[in-house]
Amino acid sequence: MHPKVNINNPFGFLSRLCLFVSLYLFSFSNAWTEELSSFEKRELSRLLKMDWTELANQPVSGVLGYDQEHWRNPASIAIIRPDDIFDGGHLQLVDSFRGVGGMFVTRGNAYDDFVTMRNFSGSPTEKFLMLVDGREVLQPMGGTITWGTEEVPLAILDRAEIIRGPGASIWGTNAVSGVINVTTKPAESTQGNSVRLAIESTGTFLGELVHGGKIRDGEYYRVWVRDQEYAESDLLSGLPARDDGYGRKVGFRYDKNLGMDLDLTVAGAYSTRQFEHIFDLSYRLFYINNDPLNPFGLTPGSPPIIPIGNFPVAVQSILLATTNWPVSESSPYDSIGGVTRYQNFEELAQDAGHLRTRLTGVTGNDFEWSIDAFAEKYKTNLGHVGHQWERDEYNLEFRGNRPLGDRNHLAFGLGYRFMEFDVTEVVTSPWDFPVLDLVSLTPLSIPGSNSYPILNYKGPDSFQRFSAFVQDTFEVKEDFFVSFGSKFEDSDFSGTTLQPGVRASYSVNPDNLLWAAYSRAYRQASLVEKFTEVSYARFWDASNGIWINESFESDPTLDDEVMDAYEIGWRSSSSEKLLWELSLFYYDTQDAVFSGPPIYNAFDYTSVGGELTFNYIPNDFWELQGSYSYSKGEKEGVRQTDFPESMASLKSVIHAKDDLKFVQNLYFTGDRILPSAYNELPIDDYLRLDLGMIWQVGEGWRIGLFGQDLLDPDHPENMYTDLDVEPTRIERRFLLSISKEF
Amino acid sequence: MLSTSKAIRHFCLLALLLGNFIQSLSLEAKKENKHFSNLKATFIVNTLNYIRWHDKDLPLRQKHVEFLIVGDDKNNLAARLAYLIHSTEFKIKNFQLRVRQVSSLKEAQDQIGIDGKKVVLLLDSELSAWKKHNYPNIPGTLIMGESSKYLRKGLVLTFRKENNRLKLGVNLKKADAMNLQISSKLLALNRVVINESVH
Repeated sequence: MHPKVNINNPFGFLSRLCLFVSLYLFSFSNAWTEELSSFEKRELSRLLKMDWTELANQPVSGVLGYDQEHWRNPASIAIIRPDDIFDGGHLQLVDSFRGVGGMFVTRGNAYDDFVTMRNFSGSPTEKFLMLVDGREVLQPMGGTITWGTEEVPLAILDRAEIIRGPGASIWGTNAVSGVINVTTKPAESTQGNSVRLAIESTGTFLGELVHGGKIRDGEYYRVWVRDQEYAESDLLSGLPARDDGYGRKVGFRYDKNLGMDLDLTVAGAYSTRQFEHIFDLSYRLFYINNDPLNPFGLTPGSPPIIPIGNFPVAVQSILLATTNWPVSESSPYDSIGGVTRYQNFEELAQDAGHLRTRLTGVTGNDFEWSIDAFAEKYKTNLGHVGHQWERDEYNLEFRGNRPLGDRNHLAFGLGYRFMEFDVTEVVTSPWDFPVLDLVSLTPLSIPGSNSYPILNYKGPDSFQRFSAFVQDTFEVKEDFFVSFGSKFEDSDFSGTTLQPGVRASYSVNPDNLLWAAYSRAYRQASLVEKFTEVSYARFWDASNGIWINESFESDPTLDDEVMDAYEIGWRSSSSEKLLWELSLFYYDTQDAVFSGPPIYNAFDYTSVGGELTFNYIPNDFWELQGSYSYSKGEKEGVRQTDFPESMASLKSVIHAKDDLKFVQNLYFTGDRILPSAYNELPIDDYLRLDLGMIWQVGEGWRIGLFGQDLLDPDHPENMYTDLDVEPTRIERRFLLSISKEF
Repeated sequence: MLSTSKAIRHFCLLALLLGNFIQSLSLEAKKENKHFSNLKATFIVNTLNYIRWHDKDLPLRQKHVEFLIVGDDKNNLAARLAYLIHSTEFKIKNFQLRVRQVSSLKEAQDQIGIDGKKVVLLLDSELSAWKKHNYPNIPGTLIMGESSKYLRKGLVLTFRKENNRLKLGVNLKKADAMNLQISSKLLALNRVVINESVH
């Protein structure tokens, strides 16, 4: 007879569970030294891939979660290496994130990619931090990352670490839903010439050239150029998306070894991008239905306002006579919401350059330190919204870490950031007609124009940020690490904040590791959200024969979004051939900013979910890698639908011969709804299949032939809601990629 | 309020957990961290790639060369080296390298350099037992020291931790004497300290 389990006494059950776990631990505690664990074998295999210099550069002890072994990390971490990008047939780093559990990657048009993590964002605003060689690349104006501007040639990429979950105690503000940390190789590792050429059946072209040389022992350099020419896509309606353009970039790096443990790096890059971007005008002009003369046979006051595009074409012509509105364009999407389609394309241009210097050293008492200095100039013209701005930025950072006794490793740092903005607002052509203020009924204008722009930045023109962090990694016992610390920041954006975090990892037995974390992270509202008035519509008051501006003000009092994040994970490797991990998270965010008429609003938002990932090598010639992620977001208790709750990926690599491999990638994305003021679009779930063949020709040359999105001719993925009229078609395509390694 | 039996049960559970915890602490206090051991083992195998043996110094009759790990291997270095050598199918010329753990120098002394036992790693436990004159005058014999404690002990290579990094000490004079050629590529690398123990 089986003993009864009293489910009404959960503590009794927990006691038994604890007892079981404890016995389990006890049973393994003496078996450690006999055999290497699967984790350790994997770690040795990882180290084996490094050359002598790389090994000599590895810290013997370091900060938990950042430079210790991957398997011991108390966080969900995925690492993308150059081969993952080439073998996946990805032209850009951001494309390769599709295979990372919890990451939601979509393409808007040829040059715009959207990335969100763990069901928290839903908008183009990325709520995570991205660094490239230590340089923050999140744009403070709109809170977004311009992915194309930050690309580097594949040959110089060392890795991209994707750390899901907040890492604010070290990384600082904006490391909310995660951190993407991109590092490039030292110049010494990129000696000689490397070329990468890729052409898509769509016409998109990519060319990369890197040259590295040695000046003398311990002194190396490299220079590189990258050019991506984007082909035009089709919109869902079949109309041309006018998204063709280019992104070009040049860069350099100089490394000098100043002593056995003293190194200097100077690097920089300049990039220029040129495209067009649409602004959807279809739902921007309205008729106030209070005209006593009732010219269009309407019942006055019912409905109170009517989109101009809802009137017959002849009536629209009369109403638009006093404006500078373009002529309407027809497409199948005209009927959505019953509004005629009006749109305006303007230039979208970005020029960015940066220079960085790093001095790193280790002193005799194992004190490692680095000093980084960054200078950056960024200039952009968001012509579609008439918003131009230049940003000059300077950063100075000091980081250090050292062991404290046998069991502690202390990391700490100080940072200073200064940014200066020069914002110019322009009234775009369609809006260039007289308009009155809603309250005062006086004409609105800006210097140099008789009308009013869509965006009107009213914020300060410079910002400072001071930061400091301290974190201790405490080795409680050999297989039990706790890391705790906090970041302190004082900035013009966010005031003074304290962002604590604690993480722990515990090897239950040689094959299983449990980890848990609590973090508090902050995301500062973007400058647009905080300081920019958005005029999103104009209303025709027929009684007075005037156009009235409708805008929503920014909110300088917007608090930082504050997230309390709880995570647990279980990593297991019962054999060298299998590694799997389960990560669960619960995010509780206060004051999450959501934009859109009528105002910027702050809501409480919760996100709960998890990811299951695995790596499996069934035999010598076959590798499998997969993930399933689930996440559910609720805004003020209401379930959100703009993020797919389920996603999955499966990658299979078959090494047919030493010089030939076949790669298959399957990506599943659950259904969701693209929100919009008037043309909300349900996006069905879709399954993407990519197949690739990579042939190692010899002498470092390899050729890859890929078919992408093979299962359907095209599907929509994303768009800037309320800016784009409709998404583009992500089409089935083929890619030829050729590269020569150093 | 807890009943007595429940309290005893909970106390036992707590004691078991604490016992497990304290036992682990005492067991593991003297060991170096696993990351260091993994790094050191990989560093050693990688370094061996830069050493050249002359054909005449390698065994004629055997198909393998033995790599002796000598001493109290509390960090399981032998298992790590064996795994790495097996994974890479490491060979010296055409001879497979095989790892064998020997618990003391006393036990290994008569074997070093003879019958293809050409590569030796002395662990720290054998420091007091090792004397320079223990180095056999048999060409092709490579003896390495696990840590900086073997500096100035007449070994060809020493691995040491300094400034939180692993560094390699090379005794070129001894290498020459043992008819071992060390790649100039290795000698040119940063974090290699040359001729540190020629005495």
